[in-house]
Amino acid sequence: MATQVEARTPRHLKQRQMLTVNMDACAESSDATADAGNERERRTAISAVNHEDLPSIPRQWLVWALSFGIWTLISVVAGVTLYHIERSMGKPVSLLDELKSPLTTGFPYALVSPFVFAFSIRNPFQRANWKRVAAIQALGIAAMLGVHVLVRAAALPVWTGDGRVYAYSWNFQARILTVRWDLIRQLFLLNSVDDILEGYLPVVLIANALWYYQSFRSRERRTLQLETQLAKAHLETLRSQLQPHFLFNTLHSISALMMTDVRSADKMMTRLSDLLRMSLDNGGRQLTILQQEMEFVNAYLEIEKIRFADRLKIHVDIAPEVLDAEVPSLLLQPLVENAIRHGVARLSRQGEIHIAAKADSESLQIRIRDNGPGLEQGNVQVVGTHLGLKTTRERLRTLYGNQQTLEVRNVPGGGVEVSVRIPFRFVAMPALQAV
Amino acid sequence: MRTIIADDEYLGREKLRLFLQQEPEVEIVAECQNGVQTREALQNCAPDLLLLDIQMPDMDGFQVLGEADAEHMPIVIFTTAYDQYAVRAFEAHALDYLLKPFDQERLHDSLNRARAEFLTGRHRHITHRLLEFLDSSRSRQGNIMDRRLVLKTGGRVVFLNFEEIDWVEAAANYVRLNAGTQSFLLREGIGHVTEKLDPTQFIRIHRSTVVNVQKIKELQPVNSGEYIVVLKNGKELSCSRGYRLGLQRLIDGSL
Repeated sequence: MATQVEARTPRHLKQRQMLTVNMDACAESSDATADAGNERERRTAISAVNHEDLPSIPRQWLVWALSFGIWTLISVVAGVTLYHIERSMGKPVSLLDELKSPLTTGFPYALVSPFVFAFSIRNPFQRANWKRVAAIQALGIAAMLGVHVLVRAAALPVWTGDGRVYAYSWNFQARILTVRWDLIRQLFLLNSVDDILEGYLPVVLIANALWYYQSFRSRERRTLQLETQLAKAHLETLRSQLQPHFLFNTLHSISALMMTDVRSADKMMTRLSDLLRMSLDNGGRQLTILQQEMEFVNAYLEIEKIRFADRLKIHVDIAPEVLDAEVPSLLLQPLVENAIRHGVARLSRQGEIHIAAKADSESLQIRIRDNGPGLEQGNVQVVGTHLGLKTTRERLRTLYGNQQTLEVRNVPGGGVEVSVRIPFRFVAMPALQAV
Repeated sequence: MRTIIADDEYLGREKLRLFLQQEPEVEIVAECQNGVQTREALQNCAPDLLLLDIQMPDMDGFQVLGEADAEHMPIVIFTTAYDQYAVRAFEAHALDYLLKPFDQERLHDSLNRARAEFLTGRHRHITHRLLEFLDSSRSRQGNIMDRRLVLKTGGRVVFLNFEEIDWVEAAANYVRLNAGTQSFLLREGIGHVTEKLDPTQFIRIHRSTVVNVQKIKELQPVNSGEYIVVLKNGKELSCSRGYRLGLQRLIDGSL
């Protein structure tokens, strides 16, 4: 069940959208993971030291290809550079000659790098285990040096006082292996620093950087999921405060009406069961569209109309284009109930309730106005923290952050107007009753 | 109309009895407490109307009907507290469906519909189809022309005849059916809904709009070959160029 959000919402709301979208998905108790499922993540290898979600490891063939590719490139560039330098100094060298040394270095690097990378990305330096990792990396360095020396000694003769001598050589006929250990040691010393700094460390650094980056991303994702779930749970508690309240109120009204006007009591009861069915069908979803929300409000108003008979007049003015706008479910009914309870109920003359909804490009505005006694000066705070409004405020804040307002104020001429402003969105309808 | 009431609960029957007393032309000829009694009453009393509770202890409402004689089938109005399972099964087959609790007003509306069906004699055909459905395992899409849609709105189950629909508009992945002053939401794509509608009666005039031909009052040509479709209730809809052809044929066909 994909909920789509139209592109009309500004980009900076995207974070909140994800929150909204995910909550609907959660409410459907489908897979609550917002993770788009990075395919490579599914093919992860051995777990990291701390057994978290392992960041994805690039494929093996890619690592090998990169290793050889990059080191060959570097070696060739080095060789070419050397060639030009020597040439500019007037020495009669050939390109091939100059390539030999760098390539002899590059080849062991290329061989060893994939292993170094593989080890490093599975065993990154972390606070817990850095000593152990460092120790193993030291061994790795030694291995790298060893391989390098081996290859170099076999491929190229070493400059010595006696001319150019191979550090070791194999005499086929005599089957004797001659090793010049002093030369071998010389090779080690000559190349160790370079090997570590140029060959080994970069790979380790890259691997660690990659690991840290991916683990950061996955932590980010998990945090977002947690936030979503938290918000959902929070909203659930807010929601559950709304329903029993008016339910018992109405039952009480029915029980009172029953004694004097059976027909009306019966009608009220039927409407109440309509309301119950609607909210059950809604299935605890946080969001719905304005049309459905108004159906709920209308059923509620029918109940009130029975109670008040001629003393209550309802005016509804909803622009047709906003019928499909996304609104939090059960947002309006408590507000209308407030308007009736504090506004109309206190009047001896006819009470009027005006419900209007319209939108501009950014936001949807819903206004509920009554012609009651109005708020006492300085009492706005009291009304604002009244139970019903308090939960409404919290809910709006959780859903929309700062992109919403809820205002309660006196209307000139008497009465109170409650004005809700939320982002104007169309959402594919998860809350519709499928029949 | 000779009427049988069938409900296993005494209070349920009592309520119906009280309400039906207010209805002219309705004469209660039998009250039944369970499936067996209902079946017998159907055979012996030759009723015109049956108000049947789906959930009764010995057999459910469907079984009762299944065993009844097709030739003497009355109009059936189901009453139940549950909307889930029955609604699907009865799409376009049931005559009406009352969700408990219901008040006098709703029962009255239901009876009006039953009366209308009774007078046109279609009820036999519909309940016959109902039995076919119950008997066979044929898919519902078989050879039956659905004349209605079943919707849930405002906590009630509404049977909307196609001929009551003025126009249909699509939004996201649901459609809005506009019928008179009411509009109903149905969670399907407009393509699916269009499939069920008679193509000679309903014409698509826009990617997201379908119109009931019977409800068109006039067509106003606009420059560049488009039309504005004006419905009898005053609503104006625009016909996009891509769908002009269907509308064209309609005009040509009626000239």
